[in-house]
Amino acid sequence: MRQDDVSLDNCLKCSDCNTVCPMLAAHPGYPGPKHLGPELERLRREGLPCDSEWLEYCLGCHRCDLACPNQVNVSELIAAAKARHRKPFIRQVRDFWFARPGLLGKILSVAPAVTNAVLAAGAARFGMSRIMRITSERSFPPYAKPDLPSPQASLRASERLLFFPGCAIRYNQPELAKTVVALLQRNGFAPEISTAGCCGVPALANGDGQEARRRARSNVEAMDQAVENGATIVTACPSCGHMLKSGLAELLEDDPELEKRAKRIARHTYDLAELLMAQSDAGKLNTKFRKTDLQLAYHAPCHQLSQGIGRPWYHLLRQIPGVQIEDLDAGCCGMSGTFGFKEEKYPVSMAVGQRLFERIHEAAPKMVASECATCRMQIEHGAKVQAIHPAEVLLQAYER
Amino acid sequence: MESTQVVIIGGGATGAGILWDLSLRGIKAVLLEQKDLANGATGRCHGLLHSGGRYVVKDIEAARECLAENQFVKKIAPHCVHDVGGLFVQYPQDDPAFFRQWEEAARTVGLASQHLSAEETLDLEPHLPKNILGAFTCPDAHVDVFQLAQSNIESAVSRGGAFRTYSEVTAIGITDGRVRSVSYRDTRNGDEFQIGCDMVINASGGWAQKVASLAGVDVPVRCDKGSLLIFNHNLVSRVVNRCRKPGDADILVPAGPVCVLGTSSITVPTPDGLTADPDEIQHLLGLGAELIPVLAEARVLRIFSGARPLYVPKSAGAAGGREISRGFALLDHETLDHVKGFVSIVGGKLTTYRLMAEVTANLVAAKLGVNEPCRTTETPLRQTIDETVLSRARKLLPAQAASIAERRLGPNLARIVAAIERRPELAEIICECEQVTLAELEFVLGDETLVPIRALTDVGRRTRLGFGPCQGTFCGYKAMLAGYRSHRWSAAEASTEFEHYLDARWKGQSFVSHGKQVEQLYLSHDLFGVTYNFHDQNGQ
Amino acid sequence: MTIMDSNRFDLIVVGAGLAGMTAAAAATERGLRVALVSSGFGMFVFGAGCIENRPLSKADRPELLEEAVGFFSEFTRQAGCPFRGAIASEVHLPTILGSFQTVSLAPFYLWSGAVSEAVRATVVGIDGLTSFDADFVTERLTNQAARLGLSTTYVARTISLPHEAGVTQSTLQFANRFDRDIEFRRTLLEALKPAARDADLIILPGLLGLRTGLEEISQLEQDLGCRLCELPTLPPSIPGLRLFHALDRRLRRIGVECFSGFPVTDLEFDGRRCVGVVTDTPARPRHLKAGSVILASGRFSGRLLGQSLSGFDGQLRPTDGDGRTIADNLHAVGALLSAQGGHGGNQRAILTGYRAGMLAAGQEDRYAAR
Repeated sequence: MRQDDVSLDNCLKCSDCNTVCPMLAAHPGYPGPKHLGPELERLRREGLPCDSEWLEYCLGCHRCDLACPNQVNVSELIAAAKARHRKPFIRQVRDFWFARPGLLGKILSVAPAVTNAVLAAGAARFGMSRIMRITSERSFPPYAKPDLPSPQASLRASERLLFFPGCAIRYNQPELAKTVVALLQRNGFAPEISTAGCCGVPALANGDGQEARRRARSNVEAMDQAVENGATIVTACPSCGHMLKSGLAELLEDDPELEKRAKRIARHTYDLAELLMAQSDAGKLNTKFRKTDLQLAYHAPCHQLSQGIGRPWYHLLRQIPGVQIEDLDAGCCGMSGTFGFKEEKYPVSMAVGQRLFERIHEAAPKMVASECATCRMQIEHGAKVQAIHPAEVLLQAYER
Repeated sequence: MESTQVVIIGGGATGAGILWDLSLRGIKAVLLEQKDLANGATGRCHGLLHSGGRYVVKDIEAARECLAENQFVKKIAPHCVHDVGGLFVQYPQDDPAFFRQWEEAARTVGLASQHLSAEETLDLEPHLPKNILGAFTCPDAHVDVFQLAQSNIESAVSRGGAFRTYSEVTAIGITDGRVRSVSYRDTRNGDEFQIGCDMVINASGGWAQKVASLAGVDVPVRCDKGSLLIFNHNLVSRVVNRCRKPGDADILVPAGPVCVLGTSSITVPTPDGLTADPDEIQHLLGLGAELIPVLAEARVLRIFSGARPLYVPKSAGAAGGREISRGFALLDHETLDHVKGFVSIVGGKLTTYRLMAEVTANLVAAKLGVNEPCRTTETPLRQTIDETVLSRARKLLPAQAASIAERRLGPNLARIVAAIERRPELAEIICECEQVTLAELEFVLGDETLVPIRALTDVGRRTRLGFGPCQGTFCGYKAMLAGYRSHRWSAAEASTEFEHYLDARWKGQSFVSHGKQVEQLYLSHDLFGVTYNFHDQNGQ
Repeated sequence: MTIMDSNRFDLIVVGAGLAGMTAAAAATERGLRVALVSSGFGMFVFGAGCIENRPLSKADRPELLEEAVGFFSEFTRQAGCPFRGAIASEVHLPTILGSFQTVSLAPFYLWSGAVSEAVRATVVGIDGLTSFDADFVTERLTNQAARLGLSTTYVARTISLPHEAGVTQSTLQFANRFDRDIEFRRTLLEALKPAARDADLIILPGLLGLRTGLEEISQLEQDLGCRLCELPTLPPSIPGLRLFHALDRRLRRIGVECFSGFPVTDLEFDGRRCVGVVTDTPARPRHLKAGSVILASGRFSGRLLGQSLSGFDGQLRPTDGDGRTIADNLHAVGALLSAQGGHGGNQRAILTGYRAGMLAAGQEDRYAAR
């Protein structure tokens, strides 16, 4: 964080942030964003030793930032403090890997069959739970060979569209990359797959500021040239999108040149639905949908809300004849990437999601659409309903 | 009629220091303060414990005094001092000759100082403007003025000294050319009292002339107003001085969680009812932004003015505020004005409060025929804290609250820890900005403290409650309820206390005309003025 | 299905306070497609949305007050958070300072505290909740009631609710538990029962959930056999936030597109028309377009109108230094109108919000006809 950041001065102590914090609602002992953010930051800057254990409980959902009427960078203040916080050894080791899904994915996807068998084995789960403090309540997402499509790219540099898949799609759901590419092609784009690695959100969430900065630097270097020549980046994972749009430049602000390039990348990054919605607004969306009778509920991931792009998936899916869609509007799911896998955080992760699970049961949809991979994991685990990426619904609706 | 040996008038650092010094020598004394402790110039300054650096070029004697006292205060009252160190920074727009003069003078005085390149300086203080040329280090520090006054009083009380706040002196009884008694009025309830005494010490700062006149004596004091701005959070980690001939707004002091910029220098007729006017504030802010550019956008919490009481003997003529010596004078009115048993200590500065107390007590002791020497340079103002208490505190409180409580409470921390162990709910943080626990609040409101409060407005000076960005809007209400629950005040009294409290908090903010504090103040007005119909509650 | 430009609206309302929400509701009801752009909960977090009867100037068009309040009452009723009272009425509602606030309308969960006849009220505090003290409020209210010649009697009672040891209790926490935990509701009901004995009314700090509706509170009253009055506490005020969420849900239901979290940084003009707003969203500012714009963004948002703001014309349109309207289709409502001095209050917020909503819907002619 910039040393001359005075956004903490904007805090009027109105507590708006506390009233929307999903962790505060589920965990009575949690001090809340107002305290962990601007209040303690004031004392941290005085140089006082401050309590930091609670920082690990911040879900990084950014709802506090959205609720703040005075533009305090609440979650940024918390994330910066979290990155300075020291953890006990075991958690440090575990979080080292949680912070590096790209590296983990590379290793585990070499022989996916073996990986998945081991990850599902009782003994391995028991060991992970006891030694690595990873909950045995959840199943791991299966790993797959990262054979992403390699579509024909546009020849003109200014029309290039780079799809940034992110780790969840690359290593766990590579078929989703095919869906995204097909969807874009149906709408006249000629997307390519970006080779950039992990976006850095997991590193930041696990308090590994150094790794997050490394990721940011390497991603800027990977995408900068294309963007400078006019390419557009598109994401289908809201956390990757959130990071490319607002995180990169923040992480690189110590280096003005890199920061400038990160900002350029941000300006050219679009969420998949945002891009399609822009097509729709311009009357250019391919709307050759067949009638699809489907009762859907939509869960907006926190990092979708934090991008400030409205509810594009909700509006897009509503255009499919026969689709009934309800916006659940039930807050954070509680998964927060790797957070919900941590043994000591599992119960509170489920408690945070409780309201969403209840809302899903009330709405009783056939399936829940949500663009975030870990939200889908949590929804399937907590509400026992199938959860899919909305891109799949849209692609399937096109006439063949 | 109550009687004592010495009555001290004035509860600032000097008066408190004298009470402590006399108590250490076994002399019985009572201190009378018209409002609360540290309510005058003591509580309305930077809180800068000068190293002498500011005076080296112009007044080498004052610099030497400061340097010596700086070391003493750090030794006897480490809990009151943030020993942050200071910088004398060379700005390109200032006279380079002064910088060289400063270096030489500092060496003469024996000020431990080191030259830093621009780069090194910016490493230490990244908020300084990028075009600075370099800096000298110095042992400047911040001293918590409220703690300092209270610690002197607390130590004195534990040695038999006494003090009364909200006690306004109405008369000094003189018979046969000798003071015999002091009459005072309790301004909280109107009761009148008289104390018989052998000697009276006038340590009333800006009010010295007024007090002296009660004894029919003239003490020429000029009040020099200095306005200061408190910023919401700490933007520097050491005291930043502009290395030039002393002028307006050329010092920024990191004062715990906040930092303080000052001052102006304007002669005023009286130390009462001082206000900062908009032009003066703009002037200070403009200069502040030269000192540390980010001050232009940082949030100002409060603006307040204090009056430096400058002693102006007849010969000093009509020189301006900064030309008059910051030195002090001890006036023996027996030799000067033929009033036996009456002395005045005037002028001086916070840093030399102990020395002023020493010379005053020396004179008074001599007159009383007491042979005890001064021991304030070697007697710590506070006992050290038991390590086991500290570790218990860390188990009960968040790290930051424990370390703040340790500093603020000293040996009294044991009581707070015991109280929380008995009733865990007392660990609640009532003032979140300044980390004041309910246990500490109850202690301050209760009977066990040696420095009891009388009004809700005193609570902040004891604990810093309400000194953060909300300025008491939220915690002041809870503190009032705590006072009610502890049976200190009835509901009606508590309401009145709260009204006075809010008015006082609002006043300091009302001079801030820009930025977030304006919104904070409106919010407080709306909340208590509209939602809670605060001004109607007493039937007005 | 008709496809609409997701960035284009008939009306954009900036600010989701009482004024902005009323404006959005009024315009939507008259057929406009409305976007509501806001950040935070405005004054809802500091109070309960009570409406005081204050003198209005002629420019405020007091003759429209009844119509505006009628609309607002219907709006809140449909939102599940009905207001009680009428413009002409004047009742005393207790506050956490133990003073009385004089209001003419209030949300139903506060209105019960109005003392018009001889009632026996129990003020309930919660053990460990330091931001509210039943004894203090009782002592003060008793004094105040005597001063005002009211025959209400107040007694204090403190109840204990289970909580995690060492965790500071707050009304927000209780409200969260009330919303999430059915067991907690039962415990609270049982704890309140002794206080309800021999009482017509229970006064308690606002904590009965952020999403509680009329039925749930009525049910609670029935189970207790007495009325409930929830006082707004120090921020966050639960009763105020509950009102916000109820109105927000209602607006979404009737089709208002709510953009929350990103402040409006600029207004966009085309000649003498305001054609949209710019919001401060990550990566790229978002441009929302509209046929007209209502500024309901509070006292400190005058900067959006630039340096030249001199006042407002008869149709709530901001005027520049020369007294000319800044734009023909730009209206200002609520506290922003009071920036020049004086305090508008909620009554004025509702009146101006309603009027601006009507003006945006092109129904100003109706006023002229009167």
